[in-house]
Amino acid sequence: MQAKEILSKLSLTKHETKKHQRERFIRMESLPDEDAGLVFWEDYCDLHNWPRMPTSAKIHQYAREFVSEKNKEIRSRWTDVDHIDAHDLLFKPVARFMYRSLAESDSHSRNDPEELQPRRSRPTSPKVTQQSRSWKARTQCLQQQPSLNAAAASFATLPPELHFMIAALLTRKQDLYSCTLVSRDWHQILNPILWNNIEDDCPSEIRIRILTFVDKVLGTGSLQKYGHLIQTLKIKCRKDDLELFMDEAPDKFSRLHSIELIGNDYSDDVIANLLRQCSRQCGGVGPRRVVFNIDDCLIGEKSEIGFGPESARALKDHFPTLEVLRAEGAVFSSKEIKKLLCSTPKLREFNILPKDPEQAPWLGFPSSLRASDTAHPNWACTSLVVFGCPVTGIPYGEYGKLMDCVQQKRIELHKSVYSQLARLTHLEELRLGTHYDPDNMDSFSDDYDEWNDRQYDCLSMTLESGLDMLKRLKNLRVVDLEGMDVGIDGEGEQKWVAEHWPKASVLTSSDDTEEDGGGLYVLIE
Amino acid sequence: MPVTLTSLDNQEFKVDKEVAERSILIKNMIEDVGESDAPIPLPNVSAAVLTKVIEYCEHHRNDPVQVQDETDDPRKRSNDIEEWDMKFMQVDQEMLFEIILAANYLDIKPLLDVGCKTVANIIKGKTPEEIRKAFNIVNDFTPEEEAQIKKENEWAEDR
Repeated sequence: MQAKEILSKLSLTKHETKKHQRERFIRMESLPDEDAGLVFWEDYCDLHNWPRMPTSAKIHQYAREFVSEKNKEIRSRWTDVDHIDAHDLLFKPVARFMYRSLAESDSHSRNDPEELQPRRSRPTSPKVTQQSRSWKARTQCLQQQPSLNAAAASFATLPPELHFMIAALLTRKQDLYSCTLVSRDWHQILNPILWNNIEDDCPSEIRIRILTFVDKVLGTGSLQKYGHLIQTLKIKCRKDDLELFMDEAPDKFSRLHSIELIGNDYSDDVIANLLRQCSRQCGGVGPRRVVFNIDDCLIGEKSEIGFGPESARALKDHFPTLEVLRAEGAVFSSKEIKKLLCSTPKLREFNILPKDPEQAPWLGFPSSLRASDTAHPNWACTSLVVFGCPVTGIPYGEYGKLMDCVQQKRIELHKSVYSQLARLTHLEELRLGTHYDPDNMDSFSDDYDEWNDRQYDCLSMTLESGLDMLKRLKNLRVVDLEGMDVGIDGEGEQKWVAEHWPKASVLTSSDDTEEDGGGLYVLIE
Repeated sequence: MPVTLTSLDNQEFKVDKEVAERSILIKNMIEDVGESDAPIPLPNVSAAVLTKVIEYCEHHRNDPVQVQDETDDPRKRSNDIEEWDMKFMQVDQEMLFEIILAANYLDIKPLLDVGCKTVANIIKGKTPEEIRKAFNIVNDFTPEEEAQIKKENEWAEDR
């Protein structure tokens, strides 16, 4: 009976889940990973003021088992969020996990029925099941619902999803802050939402400074108290402030799924620490929803780029759940990039190139993937939409002038890279260019050497090299080859591009000409 | 063919099918079960609230069905309330929240959106005291509690 009751409660939420799928994804922002079923369940209990189930090892095991099983089915569908049914992804696995764990608990008489009852019921849409197909059954089903008018309607009596909807419309942090000071009820409802998102968006970049200062000097311990609620963290502050923030932060950020660091004044160690404190290894069930969005580094000098080897190592814990990695100027070895591409089944965006090409000279030659590291195994990230990473290490020289063995090696390496790229059929942006445009380099570097700084050991992007292997990448919108010595401007290649990449803008710096093909085909000097 | 809706207080409302079907809940029910003369009981909605909801659905009967856009950022839509809707929402607080709850229950997304936007717009730019006044809420914090929350959340305050 208890299991049925729980399932019934879960079923009741099906309707509202579909309706508020967007809100759910704002909060979830990721598909369930191995532990997400349990986390979602705990969140759901919190939202409804239900006591959480005892988190025994057995229940964790079921959560992992069922959600992991479900994941296998949905991995191939992940690229198209619109078609994802939140009910299928979240509730079914959770329901199954709950049913099994409850059945287990029942059989051992370890469960307290009272513990499973909601503390207070919320009005919700009626349960509609296959069994209640008839008009009479339907109307009876409606009649079973509790009245909305049991208590006078007010903000505090709205169901949690409506609190989220209203809170999402309060764009200024100040408004949420004011709400937390209205009354105890409002504080209870809105304080967690206030802490969900810490964004250092003030022009004076002072939020983090105040938060850490108040914590440190006044000893409020607010970061320790509420830090676990943080889901998104966008930081643009001084190195000292981030270090202080990390000092005061809780041991783990169990819900943090999006980190955005802006600026170049952070040390590799501090970034690595932050990444480790989001680790799934940290605290057992720990964080499950992790999206990295490391963006907009303001570049000063090469030596100041913070995302270095330590951070790259710390990132490894997040490979199974990583969806977006945008890390301008990040220092990765080719082997690390290979490992990442082979271990990130959910990755949709991988870009370590500078967003602003004018910053490229300051960053130096970006980290790159050696062509020889693409041989095997196959990349796991077949849902990639954006790939931004130079490929290097291909012997170069005019065809016919290379030694046979070098020529053979060159062909093999091209095929190796093309065969991996060819599997990324969802790709919309293919950015391989280093943006080492010789004409733009003089102002940045006195000792610029065109021969050394232009990339020659790159994919040649010619039909002769095997470009035709990429004909399935029909969704390409941007092919960025700037700074590379490529042959895609040949007549045959242009026709091929027009035919097979009809939507793509191809950016190169190898020629002055500008021609239109079947798609938008632009050559940029 | 008209559809009969019965409110919590057993009052019957005859409305055109296309008006009733602004509610996805009712639309799905009619689609699943087929048309019938039998009244549809709505035991969660009082006659007063149902009158308002029907008024809204009548006014918007010809609006295109709103397709939920996952990429649509709700934060960008907060002030975007049509003039008629704004006047429609000029009701007392209790009725406002009853309409929101009814819209949620009946699955009328545009009405739910308008209701949430109205509440958000009431909150926006107000101090805690002004919000209390707007929603007729009593400050039940002790001075110590209030001071503690101010300290804890000071980082979120605009400067």
